[in-house]
Amino acid sequence: MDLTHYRIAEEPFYKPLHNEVPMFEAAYASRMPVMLKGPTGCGKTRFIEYMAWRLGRPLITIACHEDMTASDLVGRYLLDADGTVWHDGPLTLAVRYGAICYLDEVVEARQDTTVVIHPLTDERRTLPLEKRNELVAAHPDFQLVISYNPGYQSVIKDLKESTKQRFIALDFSYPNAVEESQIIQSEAGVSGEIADLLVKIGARSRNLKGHGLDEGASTRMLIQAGRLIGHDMPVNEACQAALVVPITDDPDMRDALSESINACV
Amino acid sequence: MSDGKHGHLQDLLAEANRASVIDAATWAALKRVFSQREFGQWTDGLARLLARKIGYSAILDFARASVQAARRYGPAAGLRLEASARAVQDKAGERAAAAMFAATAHACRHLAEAEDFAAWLATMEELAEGAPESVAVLCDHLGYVLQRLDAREFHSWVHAGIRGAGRDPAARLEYFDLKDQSAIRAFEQASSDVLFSAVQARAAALVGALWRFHPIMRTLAVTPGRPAPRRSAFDGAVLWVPEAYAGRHGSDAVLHYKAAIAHIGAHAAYGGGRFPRGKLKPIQIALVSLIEDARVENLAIADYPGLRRLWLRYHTAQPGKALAAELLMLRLSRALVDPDYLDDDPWITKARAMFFDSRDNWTDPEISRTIGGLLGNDLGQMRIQFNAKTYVVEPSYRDDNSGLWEIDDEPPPAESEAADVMLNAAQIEQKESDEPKSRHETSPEAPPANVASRASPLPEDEGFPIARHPEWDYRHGGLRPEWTTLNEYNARPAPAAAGSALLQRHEAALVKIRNLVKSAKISRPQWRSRQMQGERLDLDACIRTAIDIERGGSPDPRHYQTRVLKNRDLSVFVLLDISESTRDRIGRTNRTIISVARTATALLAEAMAGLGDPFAICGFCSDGKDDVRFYRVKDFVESFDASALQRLAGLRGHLSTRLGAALRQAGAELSPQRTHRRLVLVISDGEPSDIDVADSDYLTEDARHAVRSLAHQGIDVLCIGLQSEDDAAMRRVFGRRGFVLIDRAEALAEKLPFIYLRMTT
Repeated sequence: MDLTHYRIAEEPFYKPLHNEVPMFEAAYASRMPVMLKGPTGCGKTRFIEYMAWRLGRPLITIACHEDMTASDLVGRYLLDADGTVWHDGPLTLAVRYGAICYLDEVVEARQDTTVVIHPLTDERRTLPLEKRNELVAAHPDFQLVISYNPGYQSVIKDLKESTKQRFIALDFSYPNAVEESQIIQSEAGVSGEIADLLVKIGARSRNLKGHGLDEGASTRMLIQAGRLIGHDMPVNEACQAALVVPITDDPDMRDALSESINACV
Repeated sequence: MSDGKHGHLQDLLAEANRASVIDAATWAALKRVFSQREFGQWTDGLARLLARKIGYSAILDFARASVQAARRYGPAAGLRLEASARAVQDKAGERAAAAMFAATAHACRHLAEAEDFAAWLATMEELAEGAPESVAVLCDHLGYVLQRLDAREFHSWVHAGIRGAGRDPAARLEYFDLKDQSAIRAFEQASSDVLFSAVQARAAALVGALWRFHPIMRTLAVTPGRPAPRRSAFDGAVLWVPEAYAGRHGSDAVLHYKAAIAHIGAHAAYGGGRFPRGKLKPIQIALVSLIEDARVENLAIADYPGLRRLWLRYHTAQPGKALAAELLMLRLSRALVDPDYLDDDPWITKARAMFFDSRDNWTDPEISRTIGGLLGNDLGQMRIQFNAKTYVVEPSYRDDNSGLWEIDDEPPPAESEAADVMLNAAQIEQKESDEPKSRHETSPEAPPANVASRASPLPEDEGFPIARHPEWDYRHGGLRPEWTTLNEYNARPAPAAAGSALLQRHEAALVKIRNLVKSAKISRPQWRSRQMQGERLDLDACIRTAIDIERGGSPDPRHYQTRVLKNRDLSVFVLLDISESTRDRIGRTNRTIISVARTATALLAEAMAGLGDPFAICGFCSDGKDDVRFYRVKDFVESFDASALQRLAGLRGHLSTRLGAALRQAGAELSPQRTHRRLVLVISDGEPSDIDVADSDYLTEDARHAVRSLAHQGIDVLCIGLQSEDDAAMRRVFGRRGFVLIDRAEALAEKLPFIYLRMTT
């Protein structure tokens, strides 16, 4: 099987913030499963893309969701003209042919679904395909990475303890003001002045975390606002569209956010 | 009129009287303002008034008022006066009409347009109808009132008075004589349609976002016998904000609140400790405060340039020649925050130079003391008078500066009414307990009892205010803010035997309900066949597909089965009408409506508890708008146990039904529930009514409005009507689909759980 189109051809922009790059490389050296923790839009997905490029491995990303079943991960029988045919799921693909498998926002999947990864995350490194009566041994290059947003404080959305304890974890958070400004400049192609302003606005919204907002504006949102500004949208309107409206439906919070953006401009 | 000698003689006499009462100058003025034809109409009107034996002194007032009105608003207004006067006299008597003539001068002075004057006359007629005894009294205060309210606000204020006092003439007199606190409150509210409570959340979030400043906010309410609070105040993290800023409307009022809160936020973020008063003179204290205001604002603007726009809206001072201290300070305030403001007054120029020269030291509050002290000395040397007693900080968004100075023996900035403080405390508590469980976690050792009983000891017949709600006035087409007060009363538990008896008598129904619940409770996942995607193949579909392929037909691509979890996701707030009318007996039986309703609710609760739907039960009744009572039987977080049954059995029917207020409170308590569907279930025996409302449509329309606004929030409302004679009104409130009438009330107990299941599955 050719996983070429899962390979990342060009170096993705990633600005290392801490020791995460050498740490991940060390983990990969012994194919340890890795958990990336951090709020939404802080660069977890970008980091894993960068690492896949750096390590030269194909990357298979699975966006987890509530209705995801085990068959969505491991594969299922399908019908064609000659009868039933087995199709590998994305996880099985990665296991067989040696890719980094990235389960994005893994808490979104139901807990009984995520149990299928357990045999892959200990020294067995195997994936049983019950329906096919097959035990797939993992390719030597295979590695499992999951991302996990601890911002969900809901009781039902948490990883099982037995799942959690199989991973090493890298903690991500929003970069500091200088670094975030550099990231916005590079990603959105805006001037340093605009990027600084966006960072300031972002910090205002993060001040409201726990005071009406579940989460402040992410770096990704700020980059999006920057891109809108880059296409000649006024700062206020760009922030309205990229930050305020997506982040909350509460009219009071929207108003307060708009007003603090006005105050910054 | 003039047939026969006798009539003619009367005409002559009347003419003579008119002529004698009205002085020559007024006659001349009348002839000037009216054309000949209009003058004829006016004298006809005069004749009509005279025929009603109106007092002669009133006639002169009438003539003068006609002249004033005609001069100011045109002849039509002058002629209109007479018709209104007759209407007022019919309803409220001669004295009222006479007082109205005398008060017309005030109306002419304060109302700008002819239509305002017409609206004023119409309002006076309505007042004569709704509160005849109060017309004369109000006319005495008319100048004061119209100085503060325009014609529209006046109308609203008068209506608030008529409605608020209901059928009690003495209460109405108090209101219109401005002796009643609510008159002044309504006054402030009418003169500003935005109350602080409407803006509080977003203003708090604004300073939270800018400076991580999360203050405790208190409303400065109007207290009788004291001037209305006009400025905000702060003391550390506690803010007092006027309930309304008079004269500020709509978006302007909202911005004004934000400016005020942002200003205090700036004090909190950039201010130092309190200044010692030392030997400073009042003028120096005022000036140090002014410089300190400018200092923190400039620092804030350096961080957030947009704040300058917010604040500058309220700096409207212009250069001038007047050398009053207040005016100079107003100009100085502007000069220090508005770089584009030009003012060549030497004192202001000097102050500006001193302030901006110390730009590098702005972070040090001490410069405010230095500069303010020096400027105060200068003013003293210029012999400019300053009256500390009448001085009010300007512009109006700034606080009263009491928070800047070390406390001396002055009273605290606000001594709000005890009830207000309690209410605020309740609101804060409500906010903090976003997650329902925390209510109970506060006292883990206490047995799970209801909230009211935990808050005990409460005297049995004293409620605890838990919320205020607006009320819809359909005649006005607007919401009256904070119009009703919800009080929570202790639900008195009945003896244990009475509680368990509620269910025991209905064993058969209970068994039926439990069976029904069992079948309705689908917690196991179900397989759904013929799906495009799924976890396993649908064998039947596969065989069909194989056959289709063999036959060369096009196969149906849906050959999977998928598992679906069918969970009920519904929380319910049961609102039980316990008004006086529920004590009526049903038909010829010896059972009362409330006893049937109690049993029905108990069975329903059993069903809901069985289904695992979170639910709360409250009884409600009302005694006027300020006492809408809530008797809490069961809260969402409690289990439906024996003590809840006892409280349910203890509910007694009394007082009236202010349905809208109860619905709003139910909605407010239901909205934090995190279920997919939320339902308010009302069990009521008739249309809303209350002692202070005469108009039967008023509360019906209010309830209808409440139902609609709950629907906007995604909260369903279902009403089970009992033995209602006039269900048209109820259908109007709840809509056709939201209302189920049970014609045989005694059947309610058996029927209710089934209706509930049918409506919710």
